[in-house]
Amino acid sequence: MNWTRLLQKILRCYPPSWQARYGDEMRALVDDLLDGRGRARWTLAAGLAFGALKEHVHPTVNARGGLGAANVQQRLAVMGLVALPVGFAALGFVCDTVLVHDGAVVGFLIGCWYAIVLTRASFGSGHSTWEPWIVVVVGFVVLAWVLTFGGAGASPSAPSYFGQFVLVLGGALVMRVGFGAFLGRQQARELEPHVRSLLTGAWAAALIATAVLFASIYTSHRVAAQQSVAVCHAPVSRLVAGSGPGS
Amino acid sequence: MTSMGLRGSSDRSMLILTSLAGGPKHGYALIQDIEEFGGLTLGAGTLYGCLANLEQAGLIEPLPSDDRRRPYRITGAGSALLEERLEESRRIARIGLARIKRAAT
Repeated sequence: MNWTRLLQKILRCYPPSWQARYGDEMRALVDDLLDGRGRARWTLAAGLAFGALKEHVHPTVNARGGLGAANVQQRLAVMGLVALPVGFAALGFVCDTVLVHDGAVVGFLIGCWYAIVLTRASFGSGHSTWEPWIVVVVGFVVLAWVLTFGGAGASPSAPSYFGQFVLVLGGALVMRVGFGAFLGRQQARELEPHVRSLLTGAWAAALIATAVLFASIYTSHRVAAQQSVAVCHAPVSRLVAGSGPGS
Repeated sequence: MTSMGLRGSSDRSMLILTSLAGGPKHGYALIQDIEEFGGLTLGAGTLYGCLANLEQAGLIEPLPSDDRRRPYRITGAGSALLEERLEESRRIARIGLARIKRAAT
């Protein structure tokens, strides 16, 4: 096995900002360690791989090449990247038995959350004084109200409005604990460019997917509502027709 | 990370500071020195994770170098923290040894 090539490949797994700051030094160190005698190379490889993983999850060097606590944001951004599609897919998977549109609502709001954070990171000024997670709670109340009582009609399998609210509020609070403190504007600015691009793609995909889902839900509810109206009106129509002048 | 964040949390960081107290060293020299006086072999990933944290805390600083091997030196704050930690360790060691002796007699 060509250990030099393997170790160089593992070193390339470190975040770009880390490589820019420590890459040369670490390559020199790895060369020295490979030249040294009696050192287990697989231990070295495993240590480097673990270090690369750790640096992705708990970054030390920020995107500007500086060292700062702001990099803590990055790990949650990475977690968010994983949580967003997984959470959305999970909600979509169970939507047949639990509720139809909560998945769409939550996915849409998470997308809005990321949109706000990333937009503020790119164009905003001043420090954020409010919590983006409030968007999730307030947005859910508005959207759930519109979907449930605004004409589309409630799904027969959907829990009560209060039940849905509690469900999503709980989810939002969990997200607040997990993500809230990590998604400030300044923190998003500190993201690695590739992480920010991935996040932007993720929320854009979530917005598109939820828009499609909203449309399909609304259409199906509307068709169902029209059918039920037609079913209710049929006897009345027959009655009206039967009592007409031609009868 | 503040220097307080290192307190009691990282013996490896203390080993690195102890090594650098003897003079500036680059990564490989640090690993060899720590192996020699501490009996602990640090991996490359572990070493640079600790170096980054120590640098962030202002306890060490890199020195300019034309070579790929960049040396680091301990700062004043690093020396002060190391001294404080070693004094604390000495006090605990003294108390512990005294109690062991009392228990034996």
